[in-house]
Amino acid sequence: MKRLIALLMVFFSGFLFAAEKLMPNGISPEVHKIDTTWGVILFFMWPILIIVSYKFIEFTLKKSGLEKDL
Amino acid sequence: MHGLDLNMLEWARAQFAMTALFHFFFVPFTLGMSFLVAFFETIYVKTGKKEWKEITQFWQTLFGINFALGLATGIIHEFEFGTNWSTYSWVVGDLFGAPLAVEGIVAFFMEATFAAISFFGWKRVSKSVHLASTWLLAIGSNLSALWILIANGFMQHPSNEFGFFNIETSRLEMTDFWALITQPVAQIKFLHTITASYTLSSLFVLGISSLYLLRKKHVDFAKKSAAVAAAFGLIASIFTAVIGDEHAYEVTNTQPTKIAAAEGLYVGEKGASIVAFGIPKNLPARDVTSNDEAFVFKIELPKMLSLLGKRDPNAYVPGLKDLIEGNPEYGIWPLKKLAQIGAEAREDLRKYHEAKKAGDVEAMKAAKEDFYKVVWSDPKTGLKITKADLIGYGFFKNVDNLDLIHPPVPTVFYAFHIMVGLGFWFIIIFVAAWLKIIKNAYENATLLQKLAVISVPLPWIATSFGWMTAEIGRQPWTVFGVLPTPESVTPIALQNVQATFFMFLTAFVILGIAELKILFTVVKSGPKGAH
Repeated sequence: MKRLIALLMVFFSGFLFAAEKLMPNGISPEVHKIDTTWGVILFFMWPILIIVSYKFIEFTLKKSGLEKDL
Repeated sequence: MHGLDLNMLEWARAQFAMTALFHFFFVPFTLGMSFLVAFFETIYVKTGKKEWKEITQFWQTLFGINFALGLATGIIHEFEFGTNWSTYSWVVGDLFGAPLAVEGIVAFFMEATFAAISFFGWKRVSKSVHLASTWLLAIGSNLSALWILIANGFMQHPSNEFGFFNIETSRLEMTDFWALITQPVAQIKFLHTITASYTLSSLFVLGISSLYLLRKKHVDFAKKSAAVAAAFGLIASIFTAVIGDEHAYEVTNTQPTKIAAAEGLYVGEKGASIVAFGIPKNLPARDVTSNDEAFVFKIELPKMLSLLGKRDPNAYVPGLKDLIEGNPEYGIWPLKKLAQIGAEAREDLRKYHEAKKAGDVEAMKAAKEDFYKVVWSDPKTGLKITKADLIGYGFFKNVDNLDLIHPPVPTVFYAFHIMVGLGFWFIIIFVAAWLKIIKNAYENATLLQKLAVISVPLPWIATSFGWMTAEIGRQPWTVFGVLPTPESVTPIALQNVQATFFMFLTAFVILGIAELKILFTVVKSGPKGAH
């Protein structure tokens, strides 16, 4: 349980850290330079999210005793 | 302008909004349920237990009803681009049409193929092939959303890094497909939309399971379904908030009028606050001298807007007044200056085509050079802005009411705040439900079950308000800073749009009633009545 929560915290904080480091800044809409690397990283958050979610579902079912055979 | 009756614009907008809202009742449910069904089926294949197959098939039935209606309403949308928004389609079709075409060819066909196997192939294919089809259906439906949101990302942030206004064809044309699809604006929108959809469908499953538990029906089925939904919903709702924060940051920096309207920020401030609760007044920005007079009352969280929008608690966040009147201290140009440059670009475009007709090569060359003249370059990034990039602002050259440049404050403010408030409510529900579930105590948590049942419609409200924030917040542009909404409509007779509006309204009411009736019947029948 503690390990899983730690893993989730690493996942979310890693995401925020990456966001801070890679997201560009600008005051007017026209000068907002596109960072394609950050865009690709963002895209791959989707499959990671699905895998993490499924693992968390398995953990929940085992921990609650609703399904032990996973 | 084409001398159009403004009523035509309003009817076209109303029709599009109605179709979008109706379509968006089905889309998030499909996006989330497709993965929930895949999770249920994976557990069934891993354990080999029949009860998980029953759970999968029940939720798949509810998913299937929505899936069909989502497809049908989505197609109407695409037709409306041609019928009511043909100027828009013509001007930006090269950029907007590409992701839409990929969506149709790749994702839509992927969905359609694997939907057939997943829905009807239980007895026709092996377990593993069926499971793979269910997963590919989920991936396909979410990829559909990706391509649509790439197209929408372009409308929110049309950078000259992936497209330019071609003086020869008078259209926006693509220069870099990779930049278009990987621009963070689009990817953030995708993540925010799909995680909100996962939250919505998880709360639906949790709510219906709670209803069964309250009625002491299908108890084992409900407990297992609720456990899967609570776990998925917990992760999804937290991630929706995390990526929502990123989304707000990105909007602050790419669409300052949207965030200013969403927070009722008329006058730019250093250390700007977030309004946690408030009643904004609908005032013209030029008449407002302080942010306090723009609200009937408000409760603020000091410095939070600067912190979330600029990652610095003391940073300056421009208000609507700055964006209209300009603020030289922070390098913000007044709207009049942008409008002047835009008008010059329109004049260059006109001169170019007149010279072309006359066969005057020298005049063509001069007009073209002037059209692509650099008016600003960023010393940090090297990005250059030409007159052509600001052509859309030319529309506002002769507009008396400069407040038309920003979206309506109260509408965007309420839509945004209701969405955010509900988002936090979902996290609370999922945390509470998940904690009870892992202690195997959810069955007796009657109050929590009741709250989950009552909360079932709320994510639909939250996602609809989210869309309203995004789309009304972008006004008065269809493509932000490039193509004004009044310039985008089809110059056709008003009666045509009115007639189709009521035709679609009738169809949507009938379809909506049919959908709800089927859903209630399946839910009432329970898992064994589903197949």
